[in-house]
Amino acid sequence: MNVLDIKDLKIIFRTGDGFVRAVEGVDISIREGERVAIVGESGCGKSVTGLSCMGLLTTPPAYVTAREFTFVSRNGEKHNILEKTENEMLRLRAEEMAMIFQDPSTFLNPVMTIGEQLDEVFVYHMGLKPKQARERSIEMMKKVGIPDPEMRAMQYPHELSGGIKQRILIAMATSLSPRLLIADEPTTALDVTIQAQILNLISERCEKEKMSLLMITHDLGVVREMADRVYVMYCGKIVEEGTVDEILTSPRHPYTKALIDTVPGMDEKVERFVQIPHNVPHPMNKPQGCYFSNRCAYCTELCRTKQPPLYDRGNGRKSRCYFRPEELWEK
Amino acid sequence: MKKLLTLLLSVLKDIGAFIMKVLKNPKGRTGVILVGIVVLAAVFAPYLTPYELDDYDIANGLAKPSAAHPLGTDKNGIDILTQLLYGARISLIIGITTGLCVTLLGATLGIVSAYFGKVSATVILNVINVLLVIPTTPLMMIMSNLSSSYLMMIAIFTLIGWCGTARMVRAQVLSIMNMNYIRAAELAGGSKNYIMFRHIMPSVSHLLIMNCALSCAGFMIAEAGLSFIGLGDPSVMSWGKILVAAQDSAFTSGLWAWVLAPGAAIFITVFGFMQIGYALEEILNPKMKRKKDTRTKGLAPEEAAAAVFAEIGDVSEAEADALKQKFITEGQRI
Amino acid sequence: MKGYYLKKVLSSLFVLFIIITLNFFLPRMIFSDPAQPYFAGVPEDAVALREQIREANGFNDPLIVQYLDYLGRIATLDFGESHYYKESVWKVMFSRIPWSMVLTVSSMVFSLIFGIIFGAVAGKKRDRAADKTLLALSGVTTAIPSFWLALVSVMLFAFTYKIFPYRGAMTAGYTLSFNGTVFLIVFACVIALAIALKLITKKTLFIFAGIPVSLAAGIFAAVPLADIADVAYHAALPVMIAVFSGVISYALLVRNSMIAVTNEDYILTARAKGLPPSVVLYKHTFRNALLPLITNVGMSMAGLMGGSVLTEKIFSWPGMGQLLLDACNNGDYLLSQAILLLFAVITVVCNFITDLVYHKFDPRIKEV
Repeated sequence: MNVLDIKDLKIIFRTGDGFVRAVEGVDISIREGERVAIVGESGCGKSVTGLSCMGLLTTPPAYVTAREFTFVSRNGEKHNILEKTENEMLRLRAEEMAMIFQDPSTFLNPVMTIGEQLDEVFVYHMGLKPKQARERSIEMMKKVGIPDPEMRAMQYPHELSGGIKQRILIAMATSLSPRLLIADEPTTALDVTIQAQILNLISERCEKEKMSLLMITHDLGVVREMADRVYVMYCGKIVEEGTVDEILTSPRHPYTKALIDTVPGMDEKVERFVQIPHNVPHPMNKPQGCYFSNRCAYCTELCRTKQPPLYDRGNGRKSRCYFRPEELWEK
Repeated sequence: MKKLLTLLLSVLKDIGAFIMKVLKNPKGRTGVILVGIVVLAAVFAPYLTPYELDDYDIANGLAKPSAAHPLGTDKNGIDILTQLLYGARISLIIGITTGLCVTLLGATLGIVSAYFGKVSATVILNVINVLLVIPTTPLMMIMSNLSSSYLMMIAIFTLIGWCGTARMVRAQVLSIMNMNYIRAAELAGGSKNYIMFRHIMPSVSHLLIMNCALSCAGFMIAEAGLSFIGLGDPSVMSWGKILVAAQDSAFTSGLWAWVLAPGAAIFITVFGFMQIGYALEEILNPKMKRKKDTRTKGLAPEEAAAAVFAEIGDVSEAEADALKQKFITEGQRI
Repeated sequence: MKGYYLKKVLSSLFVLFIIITLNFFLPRMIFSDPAQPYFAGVPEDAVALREQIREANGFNDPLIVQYLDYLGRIATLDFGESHYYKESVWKVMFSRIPWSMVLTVSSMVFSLIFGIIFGAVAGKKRDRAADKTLLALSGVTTAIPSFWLALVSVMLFAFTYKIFPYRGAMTAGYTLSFNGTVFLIVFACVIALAIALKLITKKTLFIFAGIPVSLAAGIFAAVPLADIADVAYHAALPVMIAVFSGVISYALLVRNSMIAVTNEDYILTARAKGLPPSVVLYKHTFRNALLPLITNVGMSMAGLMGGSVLTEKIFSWPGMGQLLLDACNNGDYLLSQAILLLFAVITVVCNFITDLVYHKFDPRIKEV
């Protein structure tokens, strides 16, 4: 059974220069208890996709449409996110779906104590009295492994380290054990040593509370640890889809292949770092044909003229490439 | 000599191009026109009015506006319009000179405090701290006992007014110096002076030019206020002084023009300078430069969004296969 | 934290010292003979008498002795006697400060209330009618001198339509009958009530609100109602004009900071938590957006006792601004020195209080 079903999601932003196409027709589905990752470079539309699931994009400047945008809550009720009013979304947020953000230092309110910020979830969703809410908050802080929670609850965000702050955000998001947890690059702003702890915590929480996970990241290492299935996004379109093992071992799209190649292996001695030539095209100025054509090593005239469709390659795998370049690199 | 001439010519050309830019900006145009009118009125005051500032005509005092006196006359029968035209001179002189002085002094001290070591920073910051605590208006009132010439007023305005500009410039310079591109320039071996003039000055200058226009406007209002409480130069006519006289006599005799005209004059001049300031900001601040997308122009946001949504689409697999086949059969390189 | 405040106190004291020194030298710069005001009523040719006065007041001592003498007098809060009013400087100042405060405090309170509401409405929905009105009005009020606005409204409301009086603070004179005992009793009662409420509910808010409320209650109890009404009638026009420009400047500040805070990341977190929009607005956005207002209000607090020279002149209001203006015009420099020093002290103290209050609301230490 699917928790989330998105078909043909399009998101555009109105800016002073005109409209920017952030997401151009994306299909995503997440099954119950599944861990799904969206991988892509910054600016490919992956964070915006996450925000649109929570109904957090404001119109204007953002405009969202989709053929289908269904979220199924724990009691089996189907919700069309796009048709929900802000008041109806309030119930879904935190109770049915929650989000963890990128930079814990800017995503916590600087003038409220940690405790006050955690309490709010219990006060406004469960109608608890402040005292009971604080008890629950402290309990939550214990669950996410924060030492000395009573003292921490009285402190302000600037007094805490990045790792602790990210734990607080995780506690906040998972305190009502939502059905879907969206994690938007939760480790990018953290030290490498802390990253593994936070990732372990997220997967532990997901398992315990039986949450589905939508992991948004640019880090293939995180994908390997944290996901069952992967969507690779590039310039607002999905270019490849498949299970983690298959995508990482046998990519079917030149972009995925290039991404994997850029990660230096631990065991081999690298002569030179592999890089993808050129830059991601500016969102106002995308190539006419395949968006990856200007950087692709296998590009043809055909790729430059017309955007390829997302081909079904069987076995749940999809690739947005006219060809089967994998035959070339697997040889 | 020839070289110098061509250099001069190119500088003039640049200045001309810049002025054209200001004129093309709608705010800039409004501002230039308004300020232009006031400047012309001030310069040609003697030709615009048949009267002089000392044309006493007590018999004709407190006259209502008429063809001979469009704004009426004061208690001594002096034409109000004449006072207004001559008053523009002092307003402009004080506003522009003080604006320039404050900007120059503030910019220099602000840059020095941010860029030339700790000693100068401490000294300048402490001076600013003292000046910020000193209540400005009372100090001005006391200082104006020294001399009531308007040069004194400019000096006092400048001495007290530079702090704000200096603090702004200092903050801007410090924030730029923390930028990575300045570090990069330092690492690349750029000398302190090179970085100063090549990187820091350009990013401060647009702030300064804008600030100068705005402070001209501010000091004009301050000048009017000070002359109104009687601290202006008694030998020079100014808009504030017209209003003092008006408060004494115009209220009871219902001479509205006497009160309204100086206010309107102040408003026009100050508004003009402010518009020029905002226009300069738009022109000089690269972040505010915008190229508008003309395709969705004129549509309501929702309609425009729908149009953009309609543009986003995918090729069907069948269509793509046909395309691919065509490419292969036509023998294109694949 | 302690070090920060120690540094603040030391720098404030340094600033005050500079101002006192400046104060000492100002009359010596301005008058050719600093003893001049002491000669009031003494004929030009009574040279011996003049010399006697000069000697008696220490003007013949070396400058450094005079300076130390001046410092000593400041330290004992002895500001001398005003030459013009023939009364102690303290007495003259204290007869005027309440009048300035009537105008400034009431216009600040109204400006703040309406300014915050207007700013919040404008900042909540950008580019809507309220926002556009605010921006247009702020363009106008910054370009129009407020004293001119005051002049026009005096002419309109006091002369043409005769709705409001045009001069003075009361119909006759400017002395209120003030019952000190009643004031103290009411003041003490309300303060006690506030403290009791604070102890019961443990909310510091009651102390913050209790001080102004008890002051106001005390004044209302101690002054006859007819006098209060008379003063309010006279103050209406000047207060309305001050409120007009005050509202717009506070509203603009609130609007700009509302817009800045709305784009902050933590607002997104608050919304993702599923908090109702009103909670996001008041608990998260508003609380952060009002922080810059604290600094701004603190700065203008210093002006509360100072009053506004222009308004007081236009309405012949017996306040401090008018007093200082008269002192300058009369060469009454002991009085003007004392006023300048008083203003500076108030500014320093207000800055310090602002700092304390700011830290109460914003736990991050910011060195300005």
